[in-house]
Amino acid sequence: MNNGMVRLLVVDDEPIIGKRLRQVFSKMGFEIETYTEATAAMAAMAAKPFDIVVTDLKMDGMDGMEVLRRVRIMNPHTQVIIITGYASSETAELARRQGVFEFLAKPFRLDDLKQVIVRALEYQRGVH
Amino acid sequence: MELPFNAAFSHSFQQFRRILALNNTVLEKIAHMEEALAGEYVFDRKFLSESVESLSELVREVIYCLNSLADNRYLDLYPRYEELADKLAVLAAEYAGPYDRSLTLAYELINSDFEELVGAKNATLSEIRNRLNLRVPEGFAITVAAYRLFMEENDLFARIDVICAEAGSNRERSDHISRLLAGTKLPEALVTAVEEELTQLWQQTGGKALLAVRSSGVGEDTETRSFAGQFHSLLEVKPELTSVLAAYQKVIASRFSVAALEYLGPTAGSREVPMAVGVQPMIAARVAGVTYSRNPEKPETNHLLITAVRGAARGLVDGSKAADRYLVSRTWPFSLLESELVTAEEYSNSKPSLEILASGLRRGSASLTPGELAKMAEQALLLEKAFGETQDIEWALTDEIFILQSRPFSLPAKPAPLPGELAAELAAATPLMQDRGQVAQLGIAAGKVVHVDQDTDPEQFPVGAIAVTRFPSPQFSPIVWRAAAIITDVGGPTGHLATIAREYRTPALFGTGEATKLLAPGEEITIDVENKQIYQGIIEGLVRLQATEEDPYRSSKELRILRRILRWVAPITLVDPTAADFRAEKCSTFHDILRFSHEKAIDALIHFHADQGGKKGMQSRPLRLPVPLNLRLIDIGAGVTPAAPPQGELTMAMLNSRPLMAILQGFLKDAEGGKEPIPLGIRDILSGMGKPMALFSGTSYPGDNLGIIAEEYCNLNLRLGYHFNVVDTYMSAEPDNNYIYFRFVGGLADRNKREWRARLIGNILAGLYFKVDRKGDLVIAKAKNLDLLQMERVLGRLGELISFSRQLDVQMRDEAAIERFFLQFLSSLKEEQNGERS
Repeated sequence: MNNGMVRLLVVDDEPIIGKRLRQVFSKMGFEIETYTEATAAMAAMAAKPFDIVVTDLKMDGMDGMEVLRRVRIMNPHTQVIIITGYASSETAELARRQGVFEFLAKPFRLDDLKQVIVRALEYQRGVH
Repeated sequence: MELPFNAAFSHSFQQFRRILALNNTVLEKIAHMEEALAGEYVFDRKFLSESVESLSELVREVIYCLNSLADNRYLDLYPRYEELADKLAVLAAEYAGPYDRSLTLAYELINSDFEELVGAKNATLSEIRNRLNLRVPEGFAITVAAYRLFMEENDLFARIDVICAEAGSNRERSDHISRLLAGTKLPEALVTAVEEELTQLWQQTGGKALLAVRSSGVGEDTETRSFAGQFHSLLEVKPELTSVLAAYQKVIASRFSVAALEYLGPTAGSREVPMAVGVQPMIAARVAGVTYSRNPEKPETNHLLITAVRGAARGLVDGSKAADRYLVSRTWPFSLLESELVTAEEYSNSKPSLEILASGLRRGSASLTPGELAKMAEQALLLEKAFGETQDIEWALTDEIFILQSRPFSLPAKPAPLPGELAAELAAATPLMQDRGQVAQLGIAAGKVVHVDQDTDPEQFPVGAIAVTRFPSPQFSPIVWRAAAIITDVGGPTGHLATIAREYRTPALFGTGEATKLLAPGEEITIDVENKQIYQGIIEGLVRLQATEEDPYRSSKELRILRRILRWVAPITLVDPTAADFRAEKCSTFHDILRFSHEKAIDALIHFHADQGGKKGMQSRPLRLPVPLNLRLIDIGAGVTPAAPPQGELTMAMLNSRPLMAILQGFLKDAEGGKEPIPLGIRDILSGMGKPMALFSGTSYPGDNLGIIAEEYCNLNLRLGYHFNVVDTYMSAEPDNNYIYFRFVGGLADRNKREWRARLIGNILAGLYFKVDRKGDLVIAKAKNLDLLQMERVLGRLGELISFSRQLDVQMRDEAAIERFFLQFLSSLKEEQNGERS
């Protein structure tokens, strides 16, 4: 992690998700960036890596699976959490193989996301 | 499980059970949506449309089942339902529904929900006119539907996209588009619609007058994009059809002006930011100007800024005209703090008159009187609250104030108070009330306390004061949007007033118990709802924190929509089944429809035998109980001993329904005879129930409770507050067939207590083999496959719990005793279980 500040990247084409997560996680001391476009998010990731990426699955253009793939290539240390209204079991299996940390169904409880992020951070600390 | 049904009753009973099941599903969904609004769930638009769709389906089925059960006696529910469902569909889809294809719409027909159709400016003005009841110019919108028709008839979207893809400057592109637009024809239907609107407008305003034709883009004036100045508005347009249409085309063209193209950037397609247009008569203003609901230069202060010029304000808005500036307090009575006046000589058309008053202000040189300033300040605060952000308000003054436009303005980012500073200020502050009540709407507010009761005239409530009241009565709705905050002794966040508070974002803390006692009228206080703290005096640090906190989430469209949707879904307004207006056509929310349907479904079953010509075995009969509980039973098969008389009142001894007997045994259990050390004995509770009217009047409602029983089956509906609590259970020698289903909702206590109660009840049930699902104050518990002994014990405990929780609605002084009871109940269960295991 960078100087104790956890860097969190949120990618969701519905702006409300980013707004809400920004409101919550910035108060918790996270350094958070939110994007409604995966391409821009990946550019930000390339510029300065994030510890955690929370991405929507279904998006126009680059989708969450592609985000997962690229992030894992760019920085294997980064853990990716996919939020989605619908994930087929094939998608879920593929995502697992590509190293997704967790799936969360939308709408999700804020506490659930917090817990997943905490687990992801613990996992990171344990591994790296 | 086979129940010994009589065929006719069987159908009705199935419908009844279906209603119960639907009821649960709907209540769960509502609880879910409220949690989303409170911020516990992170949701998106899909959640909104799916929620509305499934709620509507479920509620429709409830009405269907009720009518099928009750011989179509409640067909009146359908029109109410249709109206609500339509409204919700419109809200969720963010479009105007029936007006969706209208080319023009008069302001009186629209409100802020129509933004996607009429653009931001028109939507805001109509909202101000129709809901805030402030004066705006009459007028009409030429809609986005008209714009699309015009563009598509001339194939303009495609042609413009081609132009925009060409090399060259935005200037060249814009010129090219202008030429293209100039050569196009307006659709006939549009011309006719505008002509009709103009005729009506002139009728309404008493004759022709010069017009303003203003842009009203969709997404214009939002927190993320303010197109101020990018799109054109044409003033002093001649009141003739041809002039108006020409002006319309010019305003449309400004969507593709150089400034707009620059602003939107190269990636924006021609279909983005569709343009609606507003047409209004010009106001012959004596003075015109702009009010900033906070002083943009010092937003952290409690001041607002009013700038004014004589005559029309055009010069002021484009910054070319010197203006009078007034700093006015944001606190009632909105005193003038400072004025900076343009010397009279600068007005070519007014004579110098610089008489200096004792106050130091110059009479005659000021464009506005203190009374006018106070009125404007009041309006600015109302608008700020209604739209949730600091507002920049364009106005014109004749003999009254016309609002020409109100839009959010972004404050320069100011540092929030340092945590240390704020902590020190808070440490020094005197808390008046802590940790009481339930959050109905988050926020921080400071102001003078004004007590409100039935006799308060909302119009006289000082804008910006803090309303303190005993009950959250819906009649206080007009006060909610004038108040800086509202605090109540009783009530919770699911009521009607709480919904209104959320809609107007009035910080609201409900059910504090004794705010009316602790907060004296006239006292200045600061309330921080999130932390449930009320301090004496104005805590500047908190006020500043609120003012500087930038929070795009709170003002997001999705939250606004959810808030509006819930308004037509969640509150219960039909509370008393014995009241004259407990009628289908009085249902004003989905929750009302549910409540009404459940009540009437029970009623239909109770009177089933009358409808069926008194078939043997299906009539409902009262059960004599040693407590004042009106319980009627319908025996659907050997629920009553054969020795019992065929009609009339039943006694406990005549019962043969095992599960009902087990429940009643617990319900009537004498605590002193029991082993558990219960300080507040069941006997005490029952003695409290011994005065029937003391229990039922004011705290519960008279009326029948219903049990449907068989030898091995019981379905019990017991009224608790607004809701029926339901036990549905089957109890036989075969554990695989056995189940208990229990639903517990609400009650009459304040939300705090209800939630706490629900939690405890949830805990207790979880200790009793139940799988518990709790959402807010709704508890749904299910247990399966218990053997006879377990069933008996669990049902007995359930009976005790029901008996006790009924009592909780009575206003009991000793809260601590109730809590003790629950905790000991819980621990006695644990002991019992440990004993069982060992």
